[in-house]
Amino acid sequence: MKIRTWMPFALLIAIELGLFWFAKRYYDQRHLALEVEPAQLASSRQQDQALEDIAEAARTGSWKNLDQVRARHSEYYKRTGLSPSRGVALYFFPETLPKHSLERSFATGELSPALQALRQAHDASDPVDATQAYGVLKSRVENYELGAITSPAEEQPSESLLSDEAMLFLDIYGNFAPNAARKPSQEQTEEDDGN
Amino acid sequence: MNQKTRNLSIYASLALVAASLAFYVLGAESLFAKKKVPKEHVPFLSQSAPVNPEFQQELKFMFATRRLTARQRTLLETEIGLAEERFNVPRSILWCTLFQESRFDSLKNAGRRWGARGIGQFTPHALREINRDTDFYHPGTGALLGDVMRPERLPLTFNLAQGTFRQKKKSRGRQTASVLVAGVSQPRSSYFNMTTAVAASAAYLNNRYIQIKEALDSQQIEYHPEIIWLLASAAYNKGARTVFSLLNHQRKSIGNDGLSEILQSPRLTYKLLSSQQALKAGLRTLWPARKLEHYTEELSRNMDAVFSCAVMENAL
Repeated sequence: MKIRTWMPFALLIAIELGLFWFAKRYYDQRHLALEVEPAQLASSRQQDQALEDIAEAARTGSWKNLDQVRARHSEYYKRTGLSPSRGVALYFFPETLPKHSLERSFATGELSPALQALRQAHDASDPVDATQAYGVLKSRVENYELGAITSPAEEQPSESLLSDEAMLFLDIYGNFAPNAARKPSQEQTEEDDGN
Repeated sequence: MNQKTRNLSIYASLALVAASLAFYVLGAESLFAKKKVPKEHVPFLSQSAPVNPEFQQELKFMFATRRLTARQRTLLETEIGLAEERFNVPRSILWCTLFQESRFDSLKNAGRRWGARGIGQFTPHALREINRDTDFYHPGTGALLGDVMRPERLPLTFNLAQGTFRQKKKSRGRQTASVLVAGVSQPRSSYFNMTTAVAASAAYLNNRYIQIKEALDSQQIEYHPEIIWLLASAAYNKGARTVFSLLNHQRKSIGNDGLSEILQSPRLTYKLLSSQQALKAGLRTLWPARKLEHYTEELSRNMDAVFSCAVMENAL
């Protein structure tokens, strides 16, 4: 038997076995998605403008203004089919979160009731209730983003470790609870005892 | 080679080629994918911890060097058992989470101003959840904690009993250092009280369990309940947002069925939570680049420890 005669068949069989092996490996690993997929995002300029408008409306101390500004930008996202970035969507435009996003339950089940309580306290001009409501809102955001612990290297107030969107969210809604501690230095007493 | 052998070889190769074409046309799904059968939720969490020999060895060392006494261990096991009854937290999950966070040192980092402290490495914001949102996730939490802390009551604090630290002069120079005094009893309302801390940590874990469970239920995603406890441990470490981001990323790529498959398999969940590559892919849009590397390394290390400690060996 000449090697030259068998070589093509051997090569073909080796290639086929190799292809089977790669296919099996692919399906073994297919359970885990390892690639990041791009999203259809609105431009960062538009997003920055939306956040600026919301912050400006909050500074007026009027929930009605805030609602109107939010509705205007939310309408833009709905009309264009674009989305803000995930963090901005979660905290400012939860209706734009993907339908199947697990974060929706946090937005609707935890953030929304806390905001509602803050609004009621603000509308009732009750600073004590407003401070308490803001405290609950802040606690939910911190625990959602950070969990119980922080990295050993991060010996800082919790607020400094939050995402930019979360910090902005707390800063904006802090306008409706003027007595609430928003800055790390104001929270020194709170940080000591967790109250 | 004679003609007969040559013909046989040609037919064999053609058959192989035809099989490959069929494979690609029909999809390997039918060959390699597991058949979808209703899964019975077979428990895989160990009834006792730790499962892994490394932690068992470490425990022996801790006893030998008196970092942990038999009395402390008995108290701990009792409190963990009670927490399991009160909050339905599987004892192995709570045991392994606390062991991983602090090696059961109830005064760990007690002298710190910021950051994580105590047996469960609670931060001030974790304490605030227990104090301000006591019954939000689970309506009985306040009453259960009240029983634990009696005669004291909420709120929990990071206060230390007087005399917990004493000043110690260094042998050279005038510098003094604070030294922990062993055996000082901590107030029941303090997170540095071991009984209170175990209960508060269990309550926090239970909150994360409920948070994750409700999110998955709202999306009608099937799961094994014990897997959710493992995810709760991850959320204890890095927040529910991390867990949701990871799961959202998987669901987006492999669909609800694929995600359900992960959430019903301890092996696949282990791969997801301990693989830095999978963590980075799912969390890239959540954390900035400077944090992503060390956060994912920390999370994968922690979850590797919790899994190996709490999950029966044959389940992984």
